[in-house]
Amino acid sequence: MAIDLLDTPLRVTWDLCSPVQPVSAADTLEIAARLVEAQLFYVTLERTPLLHPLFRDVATTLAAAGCQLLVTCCGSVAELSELKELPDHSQLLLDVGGFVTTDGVDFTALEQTCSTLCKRGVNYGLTLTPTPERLGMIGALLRFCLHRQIPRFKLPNMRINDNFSPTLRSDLLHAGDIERFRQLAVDFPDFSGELQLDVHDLFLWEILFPNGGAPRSEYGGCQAANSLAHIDCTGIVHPCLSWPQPLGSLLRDSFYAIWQDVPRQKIRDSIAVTPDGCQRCRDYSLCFGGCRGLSRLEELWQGRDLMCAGECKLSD
Amino acid sequence: MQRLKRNPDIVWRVEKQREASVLKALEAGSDPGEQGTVLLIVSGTMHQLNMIGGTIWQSVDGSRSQKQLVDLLAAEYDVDRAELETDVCLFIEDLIQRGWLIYD
Repeated sequence: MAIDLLDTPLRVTWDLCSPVQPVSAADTLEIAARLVEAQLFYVTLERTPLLHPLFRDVATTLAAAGCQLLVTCCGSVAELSELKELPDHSQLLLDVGGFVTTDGVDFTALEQTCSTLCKRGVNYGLTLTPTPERLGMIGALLRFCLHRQIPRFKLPNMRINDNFSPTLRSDLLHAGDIERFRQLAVDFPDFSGELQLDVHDLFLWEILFPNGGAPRSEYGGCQAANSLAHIDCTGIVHPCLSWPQPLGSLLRDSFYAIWQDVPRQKIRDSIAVTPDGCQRCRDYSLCFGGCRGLSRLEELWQGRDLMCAGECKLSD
Repeated sequence: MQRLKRNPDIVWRVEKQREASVLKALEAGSDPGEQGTVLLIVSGTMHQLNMIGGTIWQSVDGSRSQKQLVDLLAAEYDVDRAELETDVCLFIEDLIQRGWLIYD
């Protein structure tokens, strides 16, 4: 059963801390109240949320409303000193990106931070935004999770913002990277039943779950502006972390109102159209074009997922 | 009299737009299909209940017995009473086995 035309999203990412724009306490709490009102199932707090002065209030409010709360953390000393503020039933996501050096993952430092989290009784998992450089680290991180009995490992989608510069485009995964990853994955350990692996990108997911899996059983194409949304630190709603486009402000309207409004519907209408790059593709009914947010960054792809080689065309 | 209630650990919500679209289809005499009108998260996995399942789910609030639930649905849907009773019983048994419904 495809998931479409929801009243409000099911899962959102929220940049709680603003690097430049200070947001008043009242506004922050107003955004949290809007999320509760929208009956969201999953909220991931991003951008060093533990360091936000209202973290405890926001997290407690969301958790009390039944939201499954994920709190990202880079593992800094300042963040680790705030761990006591984590509400029950929330989960910390330790960003392995903070442990990546030019030589790969600094497993000694990662091990130390994981030990600290364990000692403090924190329910935690790991997260790593995949880039071409980082694909080679995934196998070792899967083994690390299994060895340390870390219950969750997340491979989220790439964050894109208005300042996304062309130089950062080398961080985006393309079809060639996926082929390389397919070969690397041959040596990956069997993690089934022991580790919850959350993979945003369909093309990575297919390789990591070659026999399919329940988490994608209801995949109905790009979920931007439907079951997914991203909220920036000022309360502006965007279709997804990979698709910066203002749809409305939670300081002005409810999530329900924003989800019924024209800008959101336009996004869904655009996703409903088969991209030029996917025309006559025999696999379109499986991927529905994949990630439409990132596809906007490369004109040559004509709207298809950047990780798709476009080699499955039906003959005339 | 044993009354049923929802497992309080389950987070759920009603999809108003879908509910309206199903009601519209029913009123027009067409098949609304199996579109989920109630969404639930159980142990991190999302599930959907169709219109009748969703109506039962919303009505199981600890104030009614199974028979009273059937009475409620019989008043709302124009279906054979015996058939309805069997279907509701099977549905509720399934949800009890899953741990989604519990006796108060």
